[in-house]
Amino acid sequence: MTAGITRMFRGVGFAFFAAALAFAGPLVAPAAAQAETPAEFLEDFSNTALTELTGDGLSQDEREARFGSLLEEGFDVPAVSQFILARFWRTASEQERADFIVVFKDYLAQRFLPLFGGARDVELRFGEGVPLQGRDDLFEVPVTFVPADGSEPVRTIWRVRQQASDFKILDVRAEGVSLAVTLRDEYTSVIRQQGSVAGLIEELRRLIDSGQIRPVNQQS
Amino acid sequence: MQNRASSRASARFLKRFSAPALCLAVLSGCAWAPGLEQTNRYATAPTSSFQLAARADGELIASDIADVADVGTGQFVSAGDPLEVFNRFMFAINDTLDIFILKPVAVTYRRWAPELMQEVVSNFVTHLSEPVTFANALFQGDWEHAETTGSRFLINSAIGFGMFDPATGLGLNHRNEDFGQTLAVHGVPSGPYLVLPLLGPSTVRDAAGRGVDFFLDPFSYLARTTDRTELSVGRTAAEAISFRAENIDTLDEVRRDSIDYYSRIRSLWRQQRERQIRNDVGGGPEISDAEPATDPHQVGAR
Repeated sequence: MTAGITRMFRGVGFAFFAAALAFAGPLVAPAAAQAETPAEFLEDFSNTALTELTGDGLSQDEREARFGSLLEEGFDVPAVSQFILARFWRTASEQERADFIVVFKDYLAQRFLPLFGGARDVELRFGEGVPLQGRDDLFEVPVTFVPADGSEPVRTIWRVRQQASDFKILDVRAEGVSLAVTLRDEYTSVIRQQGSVAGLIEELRRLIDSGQIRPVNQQS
Repeated sequence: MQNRASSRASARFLKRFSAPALCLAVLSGCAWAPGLEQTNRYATAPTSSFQLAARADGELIASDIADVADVGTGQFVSAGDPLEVFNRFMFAINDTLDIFILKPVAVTYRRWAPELMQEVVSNFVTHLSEPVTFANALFQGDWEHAETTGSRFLINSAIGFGMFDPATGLGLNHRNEDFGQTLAVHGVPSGPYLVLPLLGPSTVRDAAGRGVDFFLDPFSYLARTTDRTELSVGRTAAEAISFRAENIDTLDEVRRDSIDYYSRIRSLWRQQRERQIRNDVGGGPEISDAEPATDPHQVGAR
Protein backbone atom coordinates (compact mmCIF):
# COMPACT_ATOMS: atom_id res chain seq x y z
CA MET A 1 0.00 0.00 0.00
CA THR A 2 2.86 2.33 0.77
CA ALA A 3 4.09 1.85 -2.74
CA GLY A 4 0.64 2.68 -4.00
CA ILE A 5 0.53 5.86 -1.98
CA THR A 6 3.98 6.79 -3.14
CA ARG A 7 2.90 6.38 -6.71
CA MET A 8 -0.13 8.51 -6.02
CA PHE A 9 2.22 11.25 -5.01
CA ARG A 10 3.76 11.21 -8.41
CA GLY A 11 2.05 12.96 -11.23
CA VAL A 12 -1.46 14.01 -11.78
CA GLY A 13 -2.87 11.95 -9.00
CA PHE A 14 -1.47 14.43 -6.48
CA ALA A 15 -4.54 16.58 -6.37
CA PHE A 16 -6.76 13.60 -6.05
CA PHE A 17 -4.71 12.14 -3.25
CA ALA A 18 -4.61 15.43 -1.40
CA ALA A 19 -8.34 15.58 -1.81
CA ALA A 20 -8.61 12.16 -0.29
CA LEU A 21 -6.98 13.35 2.86
CA ALA A 22 -9.04 16.49 2.76
CA PHE A 23 -12.22 14.55 2.34
CA ALA A 24 -11.22 12.59 5.30
CA GLY A 25 -12.00 15.46 7.35
CA PRO A 26 -12.74 17.35 10.38
CA LEU A 27 -16.01 16.78 11.47
CA VAL A 28 -16.31 15.27 14.69
CA ALA A 29 -14.20 17.79 16.48
CA PRO A 30 -16.04 18.56 19.70
CA ALA A 31 -17.60 22.00 19.87
CA ALA A 32 -15.25 23.12 22.63
CA ALA A 33 -12.28 22.47 20.37
CA GLN A 34 -13.76 24.11 17.29
CA ALA A 35 -11.08 25.28 14.88
CA GLU A 36 -10.56 29.03 14.80
CA THR A 37 -8.38 29.22 11.72
CA PRO A 38 -8.55 27.37 8.40
CA ALA A 39 -5.20 25.72 9.10
CA GLU A 40 -6.44 24.42 12.44
CA PHE A 41 -9.56 23.20 10.74
CA LEU A 42 -7.59 21.24 8.16
CA GLU A 43 -5.29 19.80 10.77
CA ASP A 44 -8.23 18.63 12.89
CA PHE A 45 -9.87 17.41 9.75
CA SER A 46 -7.01 15.22 8.61
CA ASN A 47 -6.32 13.90 12.10
CA THR A 48 -9.92 12.90 12.50
CA ALA A 49 -9.94 11.31 9.10
CA LEU A 50 -6.92 9.19 9.79
CA THR A 51 -8.33 8.12 13.13
CA GLU A 52 -11.77 7.39 11.77
CA LEU A 53 -10.82 5.63 8.58
CA THR A 54 -7.70 3.69 9.36
CA GLY A 55 -8.83 1.91 12.52
CA ASP A 56 -8.30 -1.81 12.64
CA GLY A 57 -11.28 -4.08 12.43
CA LEU A 58 -13.45 -1.73 10.41
CA SER A 59 -15.57 -3.37 7.78
CA GLN A 60 -15.69 -1.90 4.30
CA ASP A 61 -19.28 -0.81 4.84
CA GLU A 62 -18.38 0.97 8.07
CA ARG A 63 -15.49 2.74 6.42
CA GLU A 64 -17.68 3.86 3.56
CA ALA A 65 -20.33 5.13 5.96
CA ARG A 66 -17.76 7.08 7.96
CA PHE A 67 -16.19 8.46 4.81
CA GLY A 68 -19.60 9.64 3.65
CA SER A 69 -20.29 11.53 6.84
CA LEU A 70 -16.80 13.02 6.91
CA LEU A 71 -17.24 14.16 3.36
CA GLU A 72 -20.57 15.72 4.17
CA GLU A 73 -19.27 17.64 7.14
CA GLY A 74 -15.85 18.71 5.88
CA PHE A 75 -16.58 19.47 2.27
CA ASP A 76 -19.06 21.87 0.77
CA VAL A 77 -20.34 19.16 -1.53
CA PRO A 78 -23.30 21.15 -2.92
CA ALA A 79 -21.07 24.12 -3.77
CA VAL A 80 -18.45 21.89 -5.38
CA SER A 81 -21.16 20.05 -7.32
CA GLN A 82 -22.55 23.36 -8.51
CA PHE A 83 -19.10 24.46 -9.61
CA ILE A 84 -18.42 21.20 -11.42
CA LEU A 85 -21.70 21.23 -13.33
CA ALA A 86 -21.15 24.92 -14.18
CA ARG A 87 -23.95 26.38 -16.28
CA PHE A 88 -25.68 23.01 -16.46
CA TRP A 89 -26.46 23.29 -12.76
CA ARG A 90 -28.98 26.01 -13.53
CA THR A 91 -30.83 23.97 -16.12
CA ALA A 92 -30.71 20.70 -14.18
CA SER A 93 -33.86 19.60 -12.38
CA GLU A 94 -33.90 19.30 -8.60
CA GLN A 95 -33.86 15.53 -9.02
CA GLU A 96 -30.83 15.63 -11.32
CA ARG A 97 -28.96 17.86 -8.88
CA ALA A 98 -29.69 15.53 -6.00
CA ASP A 99 -28.78 12.47 -8.08
CA PHE A 100 -25.52 14.05 -9.15
CA ILE A 101 -24.52 14.80 -5.57
CA VAL A 102 -25.22 11.19 -4.61
CA VAL A 103 -23.25 9.69 -7.48
CA PHE A 104 -20.44 12.19 -7.02
CA LYS A 105 -20.06 11.16 -3.39
CA ASP A 106 -20.03 7.51 -4.45
CA TYR A 107 -17.31 8.31 -6.96
CA LEU A 108 -15.23 10.04 -4.30
CA ALA A 109 -15.68 7.15 -1.89
CA GLN A 110 -14.56 4.56 -4.40
CA ARG A 111 -11.73 6.70 -5.67
CA PHE A 112 -10.28 7.86 -2.40
CA LEU A 113 -11.25 5.62 0.45
CA PRO A 114 -8.77 2.85 -0.46
CA LEU A 115 -5.93 5.34 -0.21
CA PHE A 116 -6.32 5.75 3.52
CA GLY A 117 -4.82 2.38 4.23
CA GLY A 118 -1.33 3.83 3.77
CA ALA A 119 -2.01 7.36 4.85
CA ARG A 120 -0.26 6.90 8.18
CA ASP A 121 3.03 6.79 6.31
CA VAL A 122 2.67 10.44 5.42
CA GLU A 123 3.38 13.47 7.59
CA LEU A 124 1.30 16.57 6.92
CA ARG A 125 2.69 20.06 7.56
CA PHE A 126 0.22 22.92 7.61
CA GLY A 127 0.95 26.53 6.73
CA GLU A 128 -1.20 29.47 7.73
CA GLY A 129 -4.26 30.30 5.64
CA VAL A 130 -3.88 33.17 3.20
CA PRO A 131 -7.02 35.31 2.75
CA LEU A 132 -8.16 35.57 -0.87
CA GLN A 133 -9.70 38.37 -2.86
CA GLY A 134 -9.56 40.76 0.10
CA ARG A 135 -12.12 38.68 1.96
CA ASP A 136 -12.07 37.37 5.48
CA ASP A 137 -14.03 34.19 4.81
CA LEU A 138 -12.09 32.64 1.92
CA PHE A 139 -8.62 31.18 2.38
CA GLU A 140 -5.95 29.09 0.75
CA VAL A 141 -3.99 26.89 3.09
CA PRO A 142 -0.69 25.38 1.99
CA VAL A 143 -0.14 21.83 3.14
CA THR A 144 3.01 19.82 2.49
CA PHE A 145 2.82 16.03 2.42
CA VAL A 146 6.07 14.47 3.57
CA PRO A 147 6.31 10.72 2.86
CA ALA A 148 7.97 8.71 5.60
CA ASP A 149 10.11 6.88 3.05
CA GLY A 150 12.12 10.03 2.39
CA SER A 151 10.85 10.60 -1.12
CA GLU A 152 10.14 14.07 -2.39
CA PRO A 153 7.56 16.12 -0.42
CA VAL A 154 4.43 17.19 -2.24
CA ARG A 155 3.12 20.72 -1.82
CA THR A 156 -0.60 21.30 -2.07
CA ILE A 157 -3.01 24.16 -1.58
CA TRP A 158 -6.45 23.68 -0.07
CA ARG A 159 -9.13 26.28 -0.59
CA VAL A 160 -11.37 26.72 2.42
CA ARG A 161 -14.41 28.94 3.03
CA GLN A 162 -15.73 29.95 6.42
CA GLN A 163 -19.46 29.67 6.90
CA ALA A 164 -20.70 30.98 10.24
CA SER A 165 -18.36 29.34 12.75
CA ASP A 166 -17.61 26.47 10.44
CA PHE A 167 -15.09 25.86 7.67
CA LYS A 168 -15.70 23.91 4.50
CA ILE A 169 -13.26 22.74 1.86
CA LEU A 170 -13.96 23.90 -1.69
CA ASP A 171 -11.01 22.63 -3.67
CA VAL A 172 -7.58 21.04 -3.50
CA ARG A 173 -4.68 21.80 -5.78
CA ALA A 174 -1.53 19.74 -6.00
CA GLU A 175 1.30 20.33 -8.40
CA GLY A 176 -0.96 22.98 -9.84
CA VAL A 177 -3.83 20.68 -10.71
CA SER A 178 -7.17 21.71 -9.30
CA LEU A 179 -9.47 18.83 -8.53
CA ALA A 180 -12.60 20.93 -9.03
CA VAL A 181 -11.44 22.51 -12.29
CA THR A 182 -10.35 19.17 -13.73
CA LEU A 183 -13.67 17.50 -12.97
CA ARG A 184 -15.61 20.53 -14.16
CA ASP A 185 -13.83 20.55 -17.52
CA GLU A 186 -14.39 16.85 -18.04
CA TYR A 187 -17.93 16.57 -16.76
CA THR A 188 -19.29 19.55 -18.67
CA SER A 189 -17.82 18.03 -21.80
CA VAL A 190 -19.59 14.76 -21.04
CA ILE A 191 -22.87 16.61 -20.46
CA ARG A 192 -22.54 18.27 -23.85
CA GLN A 193 -22.00 14.89 -25.49
CA GLN A 194 -24.75 13.13 -23.58
CA GLY A 195 -27.20 15.99 -23.86
CA SER A 196 -28.13 16.17 -20.20
CA VAL A 197 -26.94 15.96 -16.62
CA ALA A 198 -28.78 12.64 -16.43
CA GLY A 199 -26.40 11.35 -19.12
CA LEU A 200 -23.40 12.34 -17.02
CA ILE A 201 -24.90 10.66 -13.97
CA GLU A 202 -25.40 7.49 -15.98
CA GLU A 203 -21.79 7.53 -17.21
CA LEU A 204 -20.47 8.16 -13.72
CA ARG A 205 -22.55 5.32 -12.34
CA ARG A 206 -21.21 3.03 -15.05
CA LEU A 207 -17.63 4.01 -14.17
CA ILE A 208 -18.24 3.37 -10.49
CA ASP A 209 -19.93 0.02 -11.10
CA SER A 210 -17.01 -1.12 -13.25
CA GLY A 211 -14.70 -0.73 -10.23
CA GLN A 212 -11.90 0.54 -12.43
CA ILE A 213 -11.39 3.80 -10.57
CA ARG A 214 -10.14 2.08 -7.47
CA PRO A 215 -6.35 2.19 -7.21
CA VAL A 216 -4.90 -0.79 -9.08
CA ASN A 217 -3.91 -2.74 -5.99
CA GLN A 218 -7.39 -2.34 -4.55
CA GLN A 219 -9.27 -3.73 -7.50
CA SER A 220 -10.89 -7.08 -7.01
CA MET B 1 13.08 -0.45 -9.52
CA GLN B 2 9.62 0.74 -10.36
CA ASN B 3 9.48 2.92 -7.30
CA ARG B 4 12.75 4.57 -8.13
CA ALA B 5 11.56 5.13 -11.63
CA SER B 6 8.39 6.69 -10.26
CA SER B 7 10.37 8.99 -8.02
CA ARG B 8 12.45 10.12 -10.89
CA ALA B 9 9.29 10.68 -12.83
CA SER B 10 8.06 13.32 -10.48
CA ALA B 11 11.42 14.97 -10.14
CA ARG B 12 11.74 15.26 -13.85
CA PHE B 13 8.23 15.81 -14.88
CA LEU B 14 8.42 19.54 -14.74
CA LYS B 15 11.83 19.56 -16.32
CA ARG B 16 10.71 17.50 -19.21
CA PHE B 17 7.33 18.90 -19.90
CA SER B 18 8.23 19.97 -23.34
CA ALA B 19 9.16 16.52 -24.50
CA PRO B 20 7.40 15.74 -27.67
CA ALA B 21 5.29 12.63 -27.72
CA LEU B 22 1.80 11.68 -27.99
CA CYS B 23 2.00 11.07 -24.40
CA LEU B 24 0.83 14.47 -23.78
CA ALA B 25 2.59 16.48 -21.37
CA VAL B 26 -0.37 16.54 -19.33
CA LEU B 27 0.24 15.71 -15.91
CA SER B 28 0.25 18.77 -13.84
CA GLY B 29 -1.42 22.03 -13.58
CA CYS B 30 -1.55 25.72 -13.78
CA ALA B 31 -3.66 27.89 -11.61
CA TRP B 32 -3.09 31.03 -9.80
CA ALA B 33 -1.70 30.74 -6.35
CA PRO B 34 -0.36 33.26 -3.86
CA GLY B 35 3.36 33.24 -3.51
CA LEU B 36 4.25 32.28 -7.03
CA GLU B 37 7.63 33.26 -8.23
CA GLN B 38 7.37 36.81 -9.44
CA THR B 39 9.55 36.19 -12.42
CA ASN B 40 7.11 37.38 -14.98
CA ARG B 41 4.18 39.69 -14.90
CA TYR B 42 1.64 36.93 -15.25
CA ALA B 43 2.29 35.72 -11.76
CA THR B 44 -0.15 38.33 -10.51
CA ALA B 45 -2.38 38.76 -13.52
CA PRO B 46 -5.84 37.60 -14.07
CA THR B 47 -7.75 37.02 -10.89
CA SER B 48 -9.92 40.07 -11.24
CA SER B 49 -10.62 39.38 -14.90
CA PHE B 50 -11.72 35.93 -14.03
CA GLN B 51 -14.07 37.10 -11.32
CA LEU B 52 -15.72 39.46 -13.78
CA ALA B 53 -16.10 36.66 -16.28
CA ALA B 54 -17.53 34.42 -13.62
CA ARG B 55 -20.05 36.98 -12.49
CA ALA B 56 -21.09 37.72 -16.05
CA ASP B 57 -21.84 34.05 -16.37
CA GLY B 58 -23.96 34.17 -13.27
CA GLU B 59 -21.61 31.83 -11.45
CA LEU B 60 -20.55 33.66 -8.37
CA ILE B 61 -19.57 30.40 -6.85
CA ALA B 62 -16.87 29.92 -9.46
CA SER B 63 -14.76 32.77 -8.16
CA ASP B 64 -14.76 31.21 -4.72
CA ILE B 65 -13.59 27.83 -5.87
CA ALA B 66 -11.05 28.57 -8.54
CA ASP B 67 -9.69 31.55 -10.37
CA VAL B 68 -7.91 29.80 -13.14
CA ALA B 69 -7.81 32.05 -16.13
CA ASP B 70 -6.04 32.14 -19.44
CA VAL B 71 -3.16 34.55 -19.09
CA GLY B 72 -3.79 36.13 -22.45
CA THR B 73 -7.53 36.61 -22.38
CA GLY B 74 -8.55 36.43 -18.73
CA GLN B 75 -11.19 33.91 -19.73
CA PHE B 76 -11.78 30.73 -17.81
CA VAL B 77 -9.26 28.17 -19.00
CA SER B 78 -11.92 25.68 -19.89
CA ALA B 79 -13.59 28.16 -22.20
CA GLY B 80 -14.10 26.56 -25.55
CA ASP B 81 -12.52 24.12 -27.91
CA PRO B 82 -13.61 25.32 -31.35
CA LEU B 83 -11.46 22.73 -33.11
CA GLU B 84 -12.81 19.88 -31.00
CA VAL B 85 -13.83 17.62 -33.89
CA PHE B 86 -10.39 17.83 -35.47
CA ASN B 87 -8.70 17.60 -32.08
CA ARG B 88 -10.58 14.48 -31.05
CA PHE B 89 -9.71 12.85 -34.36
CA MET B 90 -6.04 13.68 -33.95
CA PHE B 91 -6.11 12.65 -30.30
CA ALA B 92 -7.51 9.26 -31.28
CA ILE B 93 -4.71 8.74 -33.79
CA ASN B 94 -2.07 9.78 -31.29
CA ASP B 95 -3.63 7.60 -28.63
CA THR B 96 -3.63 4.61 -30.96
CA LEU B 97 0.03 5.14 -31.78
CA ASP B 98 0.72 5.46 -28.09
CA ILE B 99 -1.04 2.22 -27.24
CA PHE B 100 0.55 0.17 -30.00
CA ILE B 101 4.00 1.68 -30.29
CA LEU B 102 5.17 4.23 -27.76
CA LYS B 103 3.86 2.72 -24.56
CA PRO B 104 5.14 -0.82 -25.28
CA VAL B 105 8.55 0.61 -26.12
CA ALA B 106 8.49 2.75 -22.97
CA VAL B 107 7.47 -0.17 -20.77
CA THR B 108 10.26 -2.28 -22.23
CA TYR B 109 12.72 0.55 -21.76
CA ARG B 110 11.75 1.10 -18.14
CA ARG B 111 11.89 -2.58 -17.37
CA TRP B 112 15.09 -3.56 -19.09
CA ALA B 113 17.29 -0.50 -19.53
CA PRO B 114 19.71 0.00 -16.60
CA GLU B 115 18.62 2.78 -14.29
CA LEU B 116 21.86 4.62 -14.85
CA MET B 117 21.21 4.59 -18.56
CA GLN B 118 17.68 5.93 -18.07
CA GLU B 119 19.08 8.67 -15.88
CA VAL B 120 21.74 9.58 -18.43
CA VAL B 121 19.27 9.67 -21.30
CA SER B 122 16.91 11.86 -19.31
CA ASN B 123 19.71 14.22 -18.31
CA PHE B 124 21.06 14.38 -21.83
CA VAL B 125 17.80 15.33 -23.55
CA THR B 126 17.22 17.95 -20.84
CA HIS B 127 20.73 19.25 -21.40
CA LEU B 128 20.09 19.64 -25.11
CA SER B 129 17.05 21.79 -24.36
CA GLU B 130 18.95 24.31 -22.23
CA PRO B 131 20.03 26.63 -25.07
CA VAL B 132 16.41 27.13 -26.15
CA THR B 133 15.40 27.78 -22.55
CA PHE B 134 18.29 30.24 -22.21
CA ALA B 135 17.23 32.18 -25.31
CA ASN B 136 13.59 32.33 -24.25
CA ALA B 137 14.46 33.43 -20.73
CA LEU B 138 16.32 36.33 -22.34
CA PHE B 139 13.37 37.10 -24.63
CA GLN B 140 11.13 37.23 -21.57
CA GLY B 141 13.49 39.58 -19.76
CA ASP B 142 14.03 36.96 -17.08
CA TRP B 143 17.73 37.60 -16.56
CA GLU B 144 17.92 35.55 -13.41
CA HIS B 145 16.65 32.42 -15.07
CA ALA B 146 18.83 33.03 -18.12
CA GLU B 147 21.82 33.17 -15.81
CA THR B 148 20.73 30.00 -14.01
CA THR B 149 20.20 28.17 -17.30
CA GLY B 150 23.50 29.39 -18.75
CA SER B 151 25.33 28.27 -15.61
CA ARG B 152 23.56 24.91 -15.72
CA PHE B 153 24.62 24.37 -19.29
CA LEU B 154 28.25 25.24 -18.64
CA ILE B 155 28.54 23.18 -15.45
CA ASN B 156 26.73 20.16 -16.82
CA SER B 157 28.79 20.32 -20.03
CA ALA B 158 32.13 20.67 -18.24
CA ILE B 159 31.60 18.39 -15.26
CA GLY B 160 28.67 16.21 -16.28
CA PHE B 161 29.53 15.89 -19.99
CA GLY B 162 25.85 16.54 -20.63
CA MET B 163 25.01 13.14 -19.19
CA PHE B 164 24.91 14.00 -15.50
CA ASP B 165 23.33 16.89 -13.70
CA PRO B 166 25.63 18.24 -11.00
CA ALA B 167 24.11 21.71 -11.48
CA THR B 168 20.85 20.75 -9.76
CA GLY B 169 22.85 19.68 -6.74
CA LEU B 170 24.30 23.20 -6.68
CA GLY B 171 20.83 24.73 -6.53
CA LEU B 172 20.62 25.52 -10.24
CA ASN B 173 17.27 23.98 -11.09
CA HIS B 174 16.02 23.37 -14.58
CA ARG B 175 12.80 25.10 -15.59
CA ASN B 176 11.78 24.83 -19.20
CA GLU B 177 11.05 27.95 -21.21
CA ASP B 178 9.90 27.92 -24.83
CA PHE B 179 8.79 30.46 -27.39
CA GLY B 180 5.13 29.74 -26.73
CA GLN B 181 5.69 30.90 -23.18
CA THR B 182 7.61 33.90 -24.44
CA LEU B 183 4.67 34.89 -26.64
CA ALA B 184 2.31 34.49 -23.68
CA VAL B 185 4.49 36.64 -21.46
CA HIS B 186 4.32 39.35 -24.13
CA GLY B 187 0.54 39.19 -24.19
CA VAL B 188 -0.21 36.93 -27.15
CA PRO B 189 -3.41 34.99 -26.44
CA SER B 190 -3.27 31.23 -26.65
CA GLY B 191 -5.76 30.81 -29.48
CA PRO B 192 -7.74 27.61 -29.79
CA TYR B 193 -6.63 24.39 -28.17
CA LEU B 194 -4.94 22.24 -30.79
CA VAL B 195 -3.89 18.59 -30.77
CA LEU B 196 -0.85 18.19 -32.99
CA PRO B 197 -0.03 15.00 -34.86
CA LEU B 198 2.46 13.00 -32.76
CA LEU B 199 3.26 15.98 -30.57
CA GLY B 200 0.00 16.02 -28.64
CA PRO B 201 -1.76 18.90 -26.84
CA SER B 202 -0.90 22.45 -27.78
CA THR B 203 -2.52 25.71 -28.82
CA VAL B 204 -2.17 27.78 -31.97
CA ARG B 205 0.24 30.08 -30.12
CA ASP B 206 2.32 27.23 -28.74
CA ALA B 207 2.42 25.42 -32.06
CA ALA B 208 3.85 28.56 -33.66
CA GLY B 209 6.29 28.78 -30.77
CA ARG B 210 7.51 25.27 -31.49
CA GLY B 211 8.46 26.35 -34.99
CA VAL B 212 10.52 29.24 -33.65
CA ASP B 213 12.17 27.00 -31.07
CA PHE B 214 13.22 24.64 -33.84
CA PHE B 215 15.22 27.43 -35.44
CA LEU B 216 16.57 28.62 -32.10
CA ASP B 217 17.91 25.19 -31.26
CA PRO B 218 21.62 24.77 -32.03
CA PHE B 219 21.23 21.00 -32.09
CA SER B 220 18.61 21.23 -34.81
CA TYR B 221 20.87 23.66 -36.67
CA LEU B 222 23.76 21.22 -36.41
CA ALA B 223 21.62 18.37 -37.71
CA ARG B 224 20.39 20.50 -40.61
CA THR B 225 23.72 21.90 -41.68
CA THR B 226 25.46 18.52 -41.54
CA ASP B 227 22.51 16.89 -43.25
CA ARG B 228 22.22 14.32 -40.47
CA THR B 229 18.53 14.06 -39.84
CA GLU B 230 19.11 10.88 -37.87
CA LEU B 231 20.41 13.11 -35.06
CA SER B 232 17.12 14.92 -34.80
CA VAL B 233 15.12 11.74 -35.12
CA GLY B 234 17.20 10.01 -32.45
CA ARG B 235 16.88 12.89 -30.06
CA THR B 236 13.13 13.14 -30.53
CA ALA B 237 12.73 9.40 -30.03
CA ALA B 238 14.86 9.50 -26.87
CA GLU B 239 12.80 12.38 -25.50
CA ALA B 240 9.53 10.65 -26.25
CA ILE B 241 10.50 7.26 -24.83
CA SER B 242 12.17 8.69 -21.76
CA PHE B 243 9.22 10.94 -20.99
CA ARG B 244 6.67 8.22 -21.62
CA ALA B 245 8.58 5.75 -19.47
CA GLU B 246 8.56 8.19 -16.58
CA ASN B 247 4.80 8.64 -16.77
CA ILE B 248 3.46 5.16 -17.47
CA ASP B 249 1.66 4.73 -14.16
CA THR B 250 0.32 8.26 -14.09
CA LEU B 251 -1.20 8.13 -17.54
CA ASP B 252 -2.68 4.71 -16.87
CA GLU B 253 -4.34 6.14 -13.82
CA VAL B 254 -5.67 9.17 -15.67
CA ARG B 255 -7.17 6.90 -18.29
CA ARG B 256 -8.80 4.61 -15.75
CA ASP B 257 -10.26 7.50 -13.79
CA SER B 258 -11.77 9.37 -16.74
CA ILE B 259 -15.17 9.22 -18.32
CA ASP B 260 -13.87 11.27 -21.21
CA TYR B 261 -10.10 10.77 -21.52
CA TYR B 262 -9.77 13.51 -24.14
CA SER B 263 -11.41 16.12 -21.93
CA ARG B 264 -9.46 15.09 -18.86
CA ILE B 265 -6.17 15.36 -20.74
CA ARG B 266 -7.19 18.71 -22.23
CA SER B 267 -7.98 20.12 -18.80
CA LEU B 268 -4.80 18.83 -17.22
CA TRP B 269 -2.69 20.12 -20.08
CA ARG B 270 -4.27 23.56 -19.99
CA GLN B 271 -3.81 23.87 -16.26
CA GLN B 272 -0.24 22.71 -16.57
CA ARG B 273 0.52 25.08 -19.38
CA GLU B 274 -0.83 28.07 -17.51
CA ARG B 275 1.25 27.08 -14.56
CA GLN B 276 4.35 26.81 -16.71
CA ILE B 277 3.81 30.25 -18.14
CA ARG B 278 3.49 31.66 -14.65
CA ASN B 279 6.71 29.91 -13.63
CA ASP B 280 4.84 28.24 -10.83
CA VAL B 281 7.28 25.49 -10.03
CA GLY B 282 5.47 23.93 -7.11
CA GLY B 283 2.06 23.31 -5.65
CA GLY B 284 2.49 25.94 -2.96
CA PRO B 285 5.09 27.24 -0.60
CA GLU B 286 7.47 24.79 0.99
CA ILE B 287 6.64 24.34 4.64
CA SER B 288 9.43 23.27 6.89
CA ASP B 289 8.85 21.63 10.21
CA ALA B 290 10.16 24.76 11.90
CA GLU B 291 7.98 27.17 13.86
CA PRO B 292 5.01 28.19 11.73
CA ALA B 293 4.81 31.78 10.59
CA THR B 294 2.48 33.97 12.59
CA ASP B 295 1.72 36.35 9.76
CA PRO B 296 -0.50 34.50 7.30
CA HIS B 297 1.05 36.39 4.42
CA GLN B 298 4.53 35.21 5.27
CA VAL B 299 3.72 31.64 4.41
CA GLY B 300 2.27 32.52 1.09
CA ALA B 301 5.26 34.56 0.02
CA ARG B 302 8.42 32.89 -1.05
